[in-house]
Amino acid sequence: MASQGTGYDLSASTYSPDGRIFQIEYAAKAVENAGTVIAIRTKEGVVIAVEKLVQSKLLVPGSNRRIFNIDRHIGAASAGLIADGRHLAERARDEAVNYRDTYRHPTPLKALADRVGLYVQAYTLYSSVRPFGISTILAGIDDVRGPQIFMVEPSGVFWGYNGCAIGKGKQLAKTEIEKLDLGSLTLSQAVEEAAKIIYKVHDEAKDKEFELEMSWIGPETDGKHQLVPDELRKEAARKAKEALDDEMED
Amino acid sequence: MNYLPGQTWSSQPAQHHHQFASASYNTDPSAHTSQPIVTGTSVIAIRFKDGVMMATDTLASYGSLARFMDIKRIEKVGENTILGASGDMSDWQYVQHTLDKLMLREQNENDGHILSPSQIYAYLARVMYNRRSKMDPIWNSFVLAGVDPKDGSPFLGYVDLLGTTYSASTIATGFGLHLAQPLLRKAVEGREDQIEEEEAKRILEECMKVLFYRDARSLNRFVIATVTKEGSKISEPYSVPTSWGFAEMLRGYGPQTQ
Amino acid sequence: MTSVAPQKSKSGFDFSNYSRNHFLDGKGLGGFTATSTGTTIVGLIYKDGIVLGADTRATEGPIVADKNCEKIHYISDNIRCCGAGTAADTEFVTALISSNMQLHALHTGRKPRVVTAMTMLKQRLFQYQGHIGAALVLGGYDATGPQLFTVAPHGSTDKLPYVTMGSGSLAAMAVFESGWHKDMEQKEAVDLVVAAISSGIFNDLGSGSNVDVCIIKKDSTEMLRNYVMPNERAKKEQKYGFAKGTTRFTKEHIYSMIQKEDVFEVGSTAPTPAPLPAAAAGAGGEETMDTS
Repeated sequence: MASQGTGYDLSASTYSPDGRIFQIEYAAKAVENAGTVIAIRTKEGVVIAVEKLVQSKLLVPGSNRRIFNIDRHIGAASAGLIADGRHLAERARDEAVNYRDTYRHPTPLKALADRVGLYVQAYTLYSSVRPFGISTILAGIDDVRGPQIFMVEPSGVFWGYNGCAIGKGKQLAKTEIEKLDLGSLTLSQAVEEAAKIIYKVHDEAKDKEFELEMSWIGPETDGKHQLVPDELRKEAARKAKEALDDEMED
Repeated sequence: MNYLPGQTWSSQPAQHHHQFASASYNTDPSAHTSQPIVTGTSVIAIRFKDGVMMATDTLASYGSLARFMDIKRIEKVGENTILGASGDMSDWQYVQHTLDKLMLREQNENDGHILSPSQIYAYLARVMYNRRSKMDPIWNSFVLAGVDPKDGSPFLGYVDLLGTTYSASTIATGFGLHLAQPLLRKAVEGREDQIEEEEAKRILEECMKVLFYRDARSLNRFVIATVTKEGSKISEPYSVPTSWGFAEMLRGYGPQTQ
Repeated sequence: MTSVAPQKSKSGFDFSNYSRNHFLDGKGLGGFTATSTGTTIVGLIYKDGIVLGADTRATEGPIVADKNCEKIHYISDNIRCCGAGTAADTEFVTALISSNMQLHALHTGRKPRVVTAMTMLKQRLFQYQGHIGAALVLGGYDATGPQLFTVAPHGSTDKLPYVTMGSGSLAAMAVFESGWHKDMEQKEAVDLVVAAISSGIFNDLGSGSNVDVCIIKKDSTEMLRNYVMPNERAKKEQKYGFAKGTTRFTKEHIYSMIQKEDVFEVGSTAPTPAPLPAAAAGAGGEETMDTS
């Protein structure tokens, strides 16, 4: 861990002899140590779920939102430095509005991911700024290609996904997502599965409390990005807890 | 004899600067609207027992040509507000987009707060006054109507290209100011809280009929929009029956009798 | 080199003051306001004849010059004319045509007809190319039945069953378009006219005060001056004079300003002056002369 790239890791404008920029890799480390965020794409729509690690019992539940509305039909959630996450969501909003100004049309996901990726990459060019310490998931439905998920890394690279996980529980989450038959899941089922996965990857020993924050977009929301309604979320959480208990018994 | 700017009743009214605007080219790199091109005519609106109601026809004129006969001049802004526009149609489209952006930013916050009609009105009024102060007006007269979802109170306001604002229980723009406002005032003033939805609709229909008779830039095809506590709805376009044979028995314009 | 002085035309307007007025305007010293009537005037045909209506406000720019002027002018016993526009023009042109109509009636030996008045008015107004600012609603009941016309300042006429003119014409027309139908009863017709004029009075700044109505039927004309008065001044709440003793004074000096003169005729045939009553002696200081 320590002195990984001694001397070549002090600024983002320095390459190491083997062609790496360590600052970007360290940024990725910030993501790896943060609470898990996953997203699932079904034929009907998309779901985002966040494992919100609760730092203090005094925090008001339901506040400190982690999932942001970017446009009416797009949501974003980041894992890593939460402040960076807010900044990038704000920028994504501006990009979406700018697209609307020019084309008088809701932003297609790919176009938004492209702009966000471009923005993030800009912060990897200079020694005077640091790269964003977040990976961001952009999820939504557009009339170009239907439901889509994109994930933007600290380097500015982004890919489209059917299912995606970032943060400390990403390995376990990815395995779980791969088990799902995404082609036949309904949106409500996806909500339940996402809750189950978050509960599964949560490490009771290392982290104390967590809050489950979920959003969805699909036929039940009339194409609008919204937080999953309370009753549904609580129901999904209950089922997730049950599933966990079942597993424990085995 | 008409040097006073307020005097409008003389037979030779003071020339208004807007009507005069020569369509000269602008040498500035920035744009300055000097005259409206594609225009919509009157908007009329009243407050009634359960909320507010507004009517406009579906015409956008190109000077004296009835160019576009299926235009919506009333649109929703959020769930509790409607906005009716008269004047330049391109500026109306710009304002629609601007208010859409305003509502989008509010929705993005996703904090349970929505903009009430009076708040949207305040924003719009500032935008209009700001543009007029730059001598580059948004060439419209707007009527904004809605019901505040928090306490059910109705709102009805007017704002125009000069940034003039006022609120009353009956509002009209354009020709409606001269033809419909007297009828609206007679029918509504003093009994706003007793008028049911059906009667309100009849009052507006009557005014749209009179406007079709006497406004040479109007159309007998209009929509009526209503906002109550429950939300807003805009009707499909429809027409009212008119009768034009009132002078059948008369011939000529003077002594002619056959 | 003798020059011939330009011949001044004997008829029509004299425009020689035009350049003077233009110059003064440029200096900001112009603005000669003519009294304009602002106005709402209406007329309609009903079952038994004609009902004319008018407001009673005359304006001079933004000021109300006359709160209760009469805008329904007499043309003949069975014909009346409402006038909007420049007050002097409507007054004089209707008075002129009224006078000519009387002469015409005497000449022809027939009851005057509305179309006659209309033709006289329109020919005069056209001759003056709109410079006479009179917009008229002419109505009457003659041998050919009830007739209603409008005459515009440039001389065009319209023949219609219901008309409105003046700055309040749109407000009044809105009421007419909602309420007029063929063969109305008299009460209905008068009520509609009152509603139309009231619409003008309350919604147009150039119109105000009271409603005048004139009903012209086959054998009668009823002029209802100030038929409705919806703008009566409220009774003053208190007496606003100053009580005696409000102003303190330190000195009082009374001067006798009245000159009294008695004129006596002298001579043997002079009458004996009668003793003057005490009141008359102090009345305004006039000279009293006995003219018996």
